[in-house]
Amino acid sequence: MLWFKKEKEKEKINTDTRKTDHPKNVRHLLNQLKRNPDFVHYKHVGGSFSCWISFFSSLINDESIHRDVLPFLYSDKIRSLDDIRKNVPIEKMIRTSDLKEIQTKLMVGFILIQIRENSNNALLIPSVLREGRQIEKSEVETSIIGAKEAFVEAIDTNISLIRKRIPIPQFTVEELRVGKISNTRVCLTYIDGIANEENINTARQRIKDLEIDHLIDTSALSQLISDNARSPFPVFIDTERPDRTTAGLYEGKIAVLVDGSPNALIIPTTLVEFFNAFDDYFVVWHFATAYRLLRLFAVAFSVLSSATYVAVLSFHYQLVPTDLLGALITSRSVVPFSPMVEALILEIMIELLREAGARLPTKVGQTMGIVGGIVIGTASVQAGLTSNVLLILVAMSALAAFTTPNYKMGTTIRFLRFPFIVAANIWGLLGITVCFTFFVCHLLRLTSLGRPFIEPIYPLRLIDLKDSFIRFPYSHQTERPMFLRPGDPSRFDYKRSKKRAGIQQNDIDE
Amino acid sequence: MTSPKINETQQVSPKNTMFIIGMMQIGVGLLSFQRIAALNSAQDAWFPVLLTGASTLIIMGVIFRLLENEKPYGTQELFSMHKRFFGTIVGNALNVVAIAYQFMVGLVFLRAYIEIINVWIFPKLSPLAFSFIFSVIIWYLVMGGFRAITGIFYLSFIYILPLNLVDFYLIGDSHLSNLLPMLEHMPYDYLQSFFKMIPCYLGFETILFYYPFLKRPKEAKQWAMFGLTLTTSVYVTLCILGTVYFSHGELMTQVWPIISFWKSIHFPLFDRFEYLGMILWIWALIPSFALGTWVVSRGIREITGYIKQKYALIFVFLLNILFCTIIHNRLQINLILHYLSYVGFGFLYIYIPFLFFWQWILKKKRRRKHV
Repeated sequence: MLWFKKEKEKEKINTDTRKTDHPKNVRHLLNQLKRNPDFVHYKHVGGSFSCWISFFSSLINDESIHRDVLPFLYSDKIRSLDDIRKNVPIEKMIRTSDLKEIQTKLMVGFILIQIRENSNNALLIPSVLREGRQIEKSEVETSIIGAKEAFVEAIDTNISLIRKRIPIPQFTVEELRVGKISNTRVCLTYIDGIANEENINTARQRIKDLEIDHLIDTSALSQLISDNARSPFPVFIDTERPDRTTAGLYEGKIAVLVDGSPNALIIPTTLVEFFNAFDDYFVVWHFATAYRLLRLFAVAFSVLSSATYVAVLSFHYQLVPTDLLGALITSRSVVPFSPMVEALILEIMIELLREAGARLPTKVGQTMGIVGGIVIGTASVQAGLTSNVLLILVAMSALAAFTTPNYKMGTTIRFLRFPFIVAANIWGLLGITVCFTFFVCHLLRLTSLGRPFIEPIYPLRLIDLKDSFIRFPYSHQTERPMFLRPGDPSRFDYKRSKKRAGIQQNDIDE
Repeated sequence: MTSPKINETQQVSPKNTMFIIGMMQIGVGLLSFQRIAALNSAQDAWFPVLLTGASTLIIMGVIFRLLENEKPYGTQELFSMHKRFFGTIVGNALNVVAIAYQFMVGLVFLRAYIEIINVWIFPKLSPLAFSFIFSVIIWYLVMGGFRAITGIFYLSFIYILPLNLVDFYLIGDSHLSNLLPMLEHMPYDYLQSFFKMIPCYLGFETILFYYPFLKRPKEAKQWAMFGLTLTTSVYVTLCILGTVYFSHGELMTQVWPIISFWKSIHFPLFDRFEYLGMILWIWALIPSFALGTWVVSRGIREITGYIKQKYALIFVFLLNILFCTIIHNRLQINLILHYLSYVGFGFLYIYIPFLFFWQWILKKKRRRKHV
């Protein structure tokens, strides 16, 4: 029973300390805050009116408070809090006696004005400091032709970036709060009438149901609200480009913004969209299609090439044509390892290079590339650690993996190789097929916000295929993706667009 | 335990019937059917192959009528149909037979595939290890429900189709005169080939079990017919290809003529195509095996009424692994295949028309009662 008692005592202590944590009244709160050097709390004594003013100097806009708030307090007209409210030229002032509200507002940059220090009766004047990074060029999803703007950390700036591109009242921003301690602002944005009601409700519900203490970034949110947390595949796209976000919204998707994160989360998405660069929409559809197919081929190559090498050299040497066999034998003859060990050494080397390159500052990173790519690569072949055929394959597959426009998906693709290599070492090509089957089964079961993840392929929907592996010309993309079940499925009238463009089926030379 | 209505989120579009039926019929049997078809009717083998294909269309029509007539009485599937027709005890006994049959089909498929791998690629691949890994993957798939299984059918259709098209590379080396003289065999020979072809076409009867999972089932009929026509055309063309590519004597020595087809195809970077073909053929096995286990586990749930399907599924896989290791050689596989073809024939061509007849009698009886 002793431990039970102890537990109880502990609980008591816990509850006690918690009591001290939560301020009981305004005086208590102010005493707690006074410990911070950036908290300003003083008595203002004017001619006709005196009051207590408190704020965080690090959170408020210094200029505006000295220009728009404090001078008015000296005026003769002011005798009470209500008078301030009437005279100070700032909108959305709050008159409250709710302790909780006072606390939260103080922490986001409001000025607290009280008549007496102890009174709960207070006026809150907003004077929020908005300082942050300037809007800069996109770094991760670079674009050659399209817009260069990228999201920043401030959520209001991000919303304005989107709203500028969607100038209609139907564009809706819903604000939610996530995180018991951090109370982070999360905005759910969509175009009312185009986005599917069910999708919105599911997204809202998932975000609301989150039980978490703090939320830092959209990528954390995307993992938290994903359909299958155990899956290696990301099911929502996060993008730093407002134009891509906007395009998603126009299709009927939902974008989620998190305060403090320079990314927007586009939900729901399909697997194919991860391999579509936004630049594809800026070039003619022939080339866009060609690039998309190239990227898909690159993915297949990246996942399967080194595994196939291992399988063929360990088990199925019959598959190699006789002409190629000589080259393979000469390159392999000095290597003392089995094909799998050889492949793993090289793959891990490439992963090391990538990781070192990502963690180092850009200037050192370039040297890393040279050291890794040229020195280690050729040296390892000359030292007889790996064969040069495999070096070419691995380097090419690493290159191929980087063609994936989405960074997270690229990471997944790169790591998918390892199970394939191991499987190839066990059962050769059969092992690769079994491994492949497993991932296909996994993808078949995967959903994104309850919608099938590999959608235009299965379930087969021809309308959505028009903008997946191939990109049809804009004039043929008359409908929004069926995948999203949009409220308004059609983008425009095909016949009318033809008529307006003045394309008539004339005879030759007419 | 029977849920009368399947939730729409678990149903699939009727178009998928085509893929399901097509891929159910294309299995390990396709690799070896050319010799069996030519056993009795030599160069005219394509004719009985075509006849069997045509007969499946008729049986499919009967199955659809059977299922559609069942609409006012409850779930449109074989398990509940049995129970309604023959009472709970006899009906459940028949259900047990039905799932035992489905189980054996899946099992033999898997074992025959392991046999091919043993003969051609890995002589020492352990049936235990392979069936275990394979079962784990299929378990993962079947846990995703009927929708995921349909997805596998569709994908395997996409993967397997090019494999069949590759066979047309051989047209250049064929001797069309092998087909002559045309249709010179006795009807009895055709009949024998007809019977021998039936096991290859089996598998489409599983629609008796998944029919309630189809959206707008009326539309499914045409897709099912498409599927049957497609497989029939695949079988007929491959049969003709086999006749024109091999001489009759040579064909008789081929156990898996299709693999020999692949063997004679060369790509510049890929010398032995049959390896790739055989390994890709696992995709013909996956969907049928998955649907088989799904049917069996669902059947166990329907019969007992209290075992959940997910637990029954594990049991089914354990049994599969056990039997896979017990079956040792080609002779045993052939023996099981032989008996299964009898059961399959009896099931499709005798039992289903009988069920249809019985349903009609019950309807008459009921009407008389009402009057």
